[in-house]
Amino acid sequence: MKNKNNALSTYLFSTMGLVVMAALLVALNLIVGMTSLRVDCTEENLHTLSKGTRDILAKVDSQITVNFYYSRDLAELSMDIKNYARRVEDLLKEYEHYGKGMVVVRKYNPTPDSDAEDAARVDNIEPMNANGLPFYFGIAVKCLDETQTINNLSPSREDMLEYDITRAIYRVFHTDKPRVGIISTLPVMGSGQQNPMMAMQGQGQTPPWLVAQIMEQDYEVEELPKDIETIGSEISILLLIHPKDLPEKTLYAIDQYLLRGGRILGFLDPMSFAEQMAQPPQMMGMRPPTGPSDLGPLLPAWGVAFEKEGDEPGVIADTQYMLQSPGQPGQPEQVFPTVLSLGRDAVDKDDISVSQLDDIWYVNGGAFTFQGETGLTRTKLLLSSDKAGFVEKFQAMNLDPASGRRLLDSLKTDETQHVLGLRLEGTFATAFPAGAPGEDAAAKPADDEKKDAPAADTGLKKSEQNGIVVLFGDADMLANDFAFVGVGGGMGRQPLFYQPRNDNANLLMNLLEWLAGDNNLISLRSRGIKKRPFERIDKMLADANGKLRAALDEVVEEQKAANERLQKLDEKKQPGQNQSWYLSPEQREERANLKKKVEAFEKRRKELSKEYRHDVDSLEKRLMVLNIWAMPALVAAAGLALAFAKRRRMAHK
Amino acid sequence: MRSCRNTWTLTKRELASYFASPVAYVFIIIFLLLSGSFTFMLGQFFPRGESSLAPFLMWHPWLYLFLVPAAGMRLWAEERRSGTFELLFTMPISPTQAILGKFLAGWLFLGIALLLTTPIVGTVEYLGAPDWGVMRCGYLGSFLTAGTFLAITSMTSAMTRNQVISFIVSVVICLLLILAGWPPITNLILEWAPWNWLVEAASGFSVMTHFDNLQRGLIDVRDLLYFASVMVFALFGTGVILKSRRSA
Repeated sequence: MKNKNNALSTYLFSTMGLVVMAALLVALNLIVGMTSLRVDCTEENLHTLSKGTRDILAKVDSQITVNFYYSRDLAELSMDIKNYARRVEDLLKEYEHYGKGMVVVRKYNPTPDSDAEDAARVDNIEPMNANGLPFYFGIAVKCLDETQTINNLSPSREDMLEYDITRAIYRVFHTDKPRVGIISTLPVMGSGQQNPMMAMQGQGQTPPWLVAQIMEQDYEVEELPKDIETIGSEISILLLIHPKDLPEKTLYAIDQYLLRGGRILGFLDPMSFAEQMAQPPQMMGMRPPTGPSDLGPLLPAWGVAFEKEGDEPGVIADTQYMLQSPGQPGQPEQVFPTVLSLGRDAVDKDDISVSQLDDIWYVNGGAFTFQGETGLTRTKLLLSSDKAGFVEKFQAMNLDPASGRRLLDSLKTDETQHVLGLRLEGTFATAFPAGAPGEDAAAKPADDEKKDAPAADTGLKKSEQNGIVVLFGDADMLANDFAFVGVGGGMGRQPLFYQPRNDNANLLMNLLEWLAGDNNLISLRSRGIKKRPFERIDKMLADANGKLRAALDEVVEEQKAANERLQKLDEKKQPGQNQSWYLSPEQREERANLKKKVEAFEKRRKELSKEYRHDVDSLEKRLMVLNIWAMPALVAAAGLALAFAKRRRMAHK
Repeated sequence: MRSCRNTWTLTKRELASYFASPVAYVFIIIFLLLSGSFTFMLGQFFPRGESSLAPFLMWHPWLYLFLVPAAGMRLWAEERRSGTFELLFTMPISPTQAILGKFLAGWLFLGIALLLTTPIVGTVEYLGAPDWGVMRCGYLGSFLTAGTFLAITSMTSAMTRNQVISFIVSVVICLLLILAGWPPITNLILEWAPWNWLVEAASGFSVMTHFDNLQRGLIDVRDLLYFASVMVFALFGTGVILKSRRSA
């Protein structure tokens, strides 16, 4: 037995054994290499792509190249950018990992006149300017001939990074323009044939709204008639902009479209200012406010209702988020309580379509409440402040500062944040449980009855596929006057061009893009990435900054006063002999003292500026010394103590 | 069970012998001084303004490149030079137990040195809100890298009586393991042989690729297997070499 063991040991511990061991270990690594068993230990699961992304990557069947351009050698790069670039690389590694060979990440370091710079240009990566040098920081996703570019990566958009990359990957595979169907009472697609009301007034043809023109760049936009009976699945998104007084059959068509898994983006309105302004003036040139667009039985079926003021949907006024502008000198500032300027505090931070928006204008809009249990997932996208209340539409019909001030004085606010924008997802129930609404025999040609009869029988009672509805209580926010501002052109003439006034157009485009994506893309949410700064140092710097400013203000004030006194003293100078200026000895002494004071203030100001970082610098120095020297000193002391103890023990022996 | 006890006894004896000489203290002091200086001076710990151990851990493979061979070069070379090599094997322990015992003692010694760097963890926690999961993974990665280099040093130490030669050979092997995944080297490979799989294979052999994952807070079974494989292979190699030296 012992001999057998010895023989085995001899074979095992030989060069041959070593080769076999190496082969075994390589084979084991290769086999295990095919698995992907791993634990993400980060607090925010940074290395775990969301399920939506993983599912999209699983469907990738052709090679995708992700070119990451980052001018890493640029000396001027801030640490923020360097750290962020590392995190981008980390995330790209995850795409490579989950892409299982179908996603290849290539890193480029574009420097001036390099091959990498040429590659960046080919991929349409635009350089930023870093002290006169081009700085490339972007991603190009390529598949066959298709390229999607993400330009100017920025740490401020880090929580969107996964969505941006996944969307780019999705887009290189899906190149068709999605189709958007619009139903609107307003002349969104331009007046003329579409808006007989304006034609009657002889206002001629006007171009489509600017938001429609922007939409047309990325989507096939089609205006659907207000009496449409069926909305087909070729419509990717149904966009409702103030869909007022729609006939029952159109509401039924919308209902059935949604139940077939449709996606609806609705901008409803308790009173449309754009519609009101398009009315012919009545008594005393006034244009009365118009009625609400509330989608009839659809809103109750979705478990949503407009908040009311009196009998009608109320117009929300918000004392915190209201639009304000500085008044004339000596006058109070101008306020528009029913025009809300909504910033980051008002939007859902986890939602990709709104989380990055800084300024959304909400003009004479309403708010929603959720009613009953519908089984739908309800998300509040946009909220008012808790200092808001409702007014009737007649109170809000004039958007002028005087009316605004009056309205503000009489406004009763409650301590509730009202829902201005919302999203519903899931299995919807029909708003027409009794089937298709009855036809108006007089209005309908006889041959249509045949078509409608089976429709009533085959009508869906609940969603075949998950549907999505996104609703806002304002349609005016998309109108040219509220979403854009004209530039140039001069008085009375058309502006040379328009530029966005706020993020309203971005809101629409974000939502369309989000709704046009596949379900996996839609499921992506903002990544809650936590920045981990040195909070203590930041706080110290902020405190020091506050103190510095206060001290500087004081010194500057005193310096200013001393200078003024000096100036006054100089004015008292009398012309003396030889055209020189004469000051009495007391005045001369005072002048010298003041000059000294001014110089002392200047010195103090410089000292204060130096002191600004003093505490932080000394903390950093202390920590550095502690980290570099403290432990080695302790180890040395321990070593010496042990050596002495040993020597003494030896001596005693 | 008995073999475990034997190994552990030898480990304790070896570990105690480390601290019996001033070399251990000097080694720890140099390691702490260098890692601290690199973190704050080269790693730009404060300008980064980020509560993470990245500027500290990034230097570890480079520090271990020289310090681990220095700490481990005497593992077997010293025994062979002083003639205690044969004596060791007259004790009631097998060569495997002896190799493992010596290796574990060395690894624990490196672990103690690594543990003494914890003031940096306190500093990061004091200044901000670091991700403890990432920090733990980083330390694990550093400890595994140290173990891998030590196993290689154990093998080179068994090859020769001369500690300097052992040191140089192990530095070269460890350097290769570090550089295998380094872009200039992979680009060179690509120029020489434009096969992606070759580059991937070369990167797969690099300690950096695997250490990097752990440093990011990701424990991948493939990375753990890599470290374990290199250690097992190097220690097995130590056994083969020692056996051939004994029979020679």
